[in-house]
Amino acid sequence: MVVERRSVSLTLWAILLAVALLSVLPFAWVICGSFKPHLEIQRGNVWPWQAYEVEKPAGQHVTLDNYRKIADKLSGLPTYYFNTVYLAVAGTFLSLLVGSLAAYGLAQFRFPGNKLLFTLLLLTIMIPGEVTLIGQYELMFKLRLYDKIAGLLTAYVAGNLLLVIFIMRNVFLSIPQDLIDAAMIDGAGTWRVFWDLMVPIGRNGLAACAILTFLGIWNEFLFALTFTSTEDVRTLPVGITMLKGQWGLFNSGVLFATVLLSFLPIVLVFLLLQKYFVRGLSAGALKA
Amino acid sequence: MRQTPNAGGTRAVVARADAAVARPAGPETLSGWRRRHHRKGLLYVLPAALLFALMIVYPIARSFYLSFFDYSILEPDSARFVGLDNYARLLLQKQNHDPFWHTLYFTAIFVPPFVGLALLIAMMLNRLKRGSVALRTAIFTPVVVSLAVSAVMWTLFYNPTFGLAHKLLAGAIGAVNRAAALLGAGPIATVPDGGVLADKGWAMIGIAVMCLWNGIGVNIILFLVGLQRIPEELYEAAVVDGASGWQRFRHITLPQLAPTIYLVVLLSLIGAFKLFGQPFIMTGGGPEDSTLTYVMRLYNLAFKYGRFQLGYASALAYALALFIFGISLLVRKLNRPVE
Repeated sequence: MVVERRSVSLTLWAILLAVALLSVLPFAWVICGSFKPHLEIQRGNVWPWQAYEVEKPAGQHVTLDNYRKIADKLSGLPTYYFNTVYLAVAGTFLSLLVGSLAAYGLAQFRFPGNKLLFTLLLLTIMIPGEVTLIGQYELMFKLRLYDKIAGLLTAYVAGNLLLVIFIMRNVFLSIPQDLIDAAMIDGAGTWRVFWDLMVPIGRNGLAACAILTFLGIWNEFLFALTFTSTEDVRTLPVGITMLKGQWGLFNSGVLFATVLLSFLPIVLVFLLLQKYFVRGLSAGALKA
Repeated sequence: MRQTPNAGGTRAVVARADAAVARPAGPETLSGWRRRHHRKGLLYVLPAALLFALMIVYPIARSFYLSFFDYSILEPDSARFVGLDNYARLLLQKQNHDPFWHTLYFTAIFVPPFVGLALLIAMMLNRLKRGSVALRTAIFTPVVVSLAVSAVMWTLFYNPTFGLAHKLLAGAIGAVNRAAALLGAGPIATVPDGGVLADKGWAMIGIAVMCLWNGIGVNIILFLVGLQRIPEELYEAAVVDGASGWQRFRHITLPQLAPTIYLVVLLSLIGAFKLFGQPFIMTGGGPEDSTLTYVMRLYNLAFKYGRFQLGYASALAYALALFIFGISLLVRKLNRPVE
């Protein structure tokens, strides 16, 4: 054991504490600002303890007005929210289903073209998304999927397949062949082997894939920006940039509240599932 | 491979015997079972393969094809084969040079701290024996915030009238200048009055700091995973041999961590080179195009300038692919001596 001196470990702790505070400072600042009226913010009084510059009756300095405006549908935020949640949930489910079935096929069956298919998949890793973007854009019009949620969903599922296939193929290859043989001898078909054996054993891998896919779709910007043009199909990342222009100048408080509502759910989920997040992120990056 | 008929070994033989007893109708052997079923694999792969062919392979091929055409989606019938003209134009056209240099500049100021600070923080977190979970969580949290939300958040943060980051920066510049004045020098830096994002010199730095906050957690996680894989005995042996902290870092940590460093550097470089969303949201490429990046130029050509020049933009996309490929080869080559 490399023994640490007390002073060294205290210094480490102090430095890391400073880094941690810097990491959460923007969150704290946005939370405080979201409860302030526009005029207070414009005076630079964002923190709750700087609330007394503009002469107004007490209670006017901290307000829920910003949230009320959003709830009254003065902002497109609810629509963006719904679209993003829908895309992330449906996209994650479909990517996992289609991807892990393919991974199963590639890992457990020797059909003609297996190797070729896998090599082809490997090759496309090298191609950045910007290349795919242009071809897909044109395709969206041909398939009449431009400016439709279904179009984005198709693009997201296709875009996340590769990751799921790579992670799950490795997971499935590491399952002992004896187990599969035993199940097959018992009369299980390949379909049942997949659901009763592969899926339960591979659940950690699936969880990592789910987190990566969900986070990827939740945060995706470039494709959502390019493949949509109307308010109804906007996602949160694209929508919030529109709201920035809409609220930024004349009602910055609403923008603070919008930012807060945009990061809050995903940050809460992260805090709850922290362990899996870290595992998923590292698994994904190491595979990529 | 594990799919050879006898991979199961003795257990498979036993199982085979069991099967023969259980189903006397036909001598169903494992190899026979597999042979009948191998083709079923295609069925499992089919949905993914079709989707992949349509949504990934076809668009990639189509972009490549288009990169040799003067093609606008508005007038698909007037597409004209131009050979390598698009590629020549992308090298020669002056409007492409600045975005390229801006991107390179961003990479130069962003990647070193993005990798170096991450390694430093990861090593400190790794050495902390107790109480690190809360710190770790706090440091990772910004990672889950999407780039768009983060960009809007930091636009507020940099706001010259109420932004906290702006105030901190102004305070720091003031302190530096006062210190310089004490030493008899003139002011070293000036506060950007219109805000960081409205200043030609500061805008890209502002974006880089935001990206650092948003993304460094991923690199820290990767380094932590790498660090935890290094056997503790190596350090113990080094301490017994009287190696200093620096020597332990230089001769144990660095070589053991080489694969992780390679991965992190590569991913960071690629990410930096694809910079788009953050400047798109925060500055729109300004002021005076100082934050106009390569991918933004590509986006503008394809989707913004009204002519939808998909052919020319495809050439830019393929040049980016080539550039990234070149960088990965270079990083791999540079990584060798460390291993």
